[in-house]
Amino acid sequence: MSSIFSQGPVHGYRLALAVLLSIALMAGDIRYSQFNYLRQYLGFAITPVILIVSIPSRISEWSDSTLVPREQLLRENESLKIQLLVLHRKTQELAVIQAENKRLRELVNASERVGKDILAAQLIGLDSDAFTHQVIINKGKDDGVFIGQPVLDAKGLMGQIVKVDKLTSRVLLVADANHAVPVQVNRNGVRAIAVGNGSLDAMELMFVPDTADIILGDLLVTSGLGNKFPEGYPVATVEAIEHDPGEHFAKVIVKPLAELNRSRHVLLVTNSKDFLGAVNE
Amino acid sequence: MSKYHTGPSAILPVFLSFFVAFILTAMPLPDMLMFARPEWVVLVVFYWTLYLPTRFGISVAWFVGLMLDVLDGNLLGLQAISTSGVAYIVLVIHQRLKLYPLPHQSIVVFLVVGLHLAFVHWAQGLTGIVSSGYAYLTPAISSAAIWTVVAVLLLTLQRAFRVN
Repeated sequence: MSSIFSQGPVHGYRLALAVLLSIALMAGDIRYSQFNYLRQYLGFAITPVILIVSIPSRISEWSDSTLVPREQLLRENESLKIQLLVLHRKTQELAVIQAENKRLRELVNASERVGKDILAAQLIGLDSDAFTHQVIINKGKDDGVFIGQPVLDAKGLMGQIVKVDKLTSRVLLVADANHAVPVQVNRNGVRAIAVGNGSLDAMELMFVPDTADIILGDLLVTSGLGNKFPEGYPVATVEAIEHDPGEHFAKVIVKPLAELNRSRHVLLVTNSKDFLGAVNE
Repeated sequence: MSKYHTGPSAILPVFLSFFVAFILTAMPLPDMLMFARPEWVVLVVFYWTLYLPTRFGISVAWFVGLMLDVLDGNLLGLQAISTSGVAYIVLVIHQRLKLYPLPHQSIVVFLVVGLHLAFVHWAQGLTGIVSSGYAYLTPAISSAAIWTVVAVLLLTLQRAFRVN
């Protein structure tokens, strides 16, 4: 700090020290999971920034829900009641189907599926980097969030947790170029891997043979292979298929079902660890 | 140590300016503007190293870069290297740089921020997939363009707190 350090080659030594320290940190961050604790505590200091940044959207959300005319609320209430009724009817069918499924599974000696608990979370921030698709949610280590935890919205699979801080955590969306998810076609079980390509409303299927039975509009669900995501959550629908004779594989463009740029409320599958254990049996 | 410190504590204004820079960095923007978001934190590091070279240097810049890594969810230390590099460059040339008028300084800002972006992009490319093309350099242009404003604002802050 004192001015005797302001001249001479001391800056060079300091820079060298900073670079060495950074490289050690990066190597440790890649290698050792203990560095997550360091990140959590540093993240604690950053939390006020994230909270302040989310204030405008919170205000608009609050005013959206507080400053609406009574008629609109009544109408919304009405439509929600109808929706609830429809869902209730579906649940009734579900009970029968579940029982039947259980009997059939007993017949073929398959292990029973574990019920899935969920934790609701809310989006509080977007990643500031224009080239990645990550969001920040308001649940962290203290709520039992763990790295790799699947994140859903009402429509489908949204992504997975990649960083956990004390009070917040970071979700890598399925559409990010660094994200891949094993899927299968709901209609016939054809397996593939859906990889993000950087655009928010499109992903690609990797290594799909030209002869694979995939048609436009097919629903892709998670296949549970790779033990990252539990089986059976909708991921995307097939939007375009190109067969290029010069390429080894067909080019299949799919559209994520989750509303990646709109959903504010997300669900974390909490006991997916147990669930994945059950799949492995 | 205190006899070298001619002014009052620099901690508050420096902390304030970084706090605001972090908020601006994390603030959601429309997609089009997001690509051109100036590197606010690097600009503030640039300013304080330029005008308080005896009290602000590589160590603080390193720590600020580390916090930026936490904010962006990068590998810890990735941007810390880069911000301390920025501080180093500015420390080496600060005596000349201070004599330039602000528009001339912004040319140096363009180069330094460009170097910073190129380094971060390259390092991120080692560990994951990054964008192709040169769009990632756009913030260098916007940072240079807004340097004059940032410098005047920070100068006002510095004078308000009488830090020198």
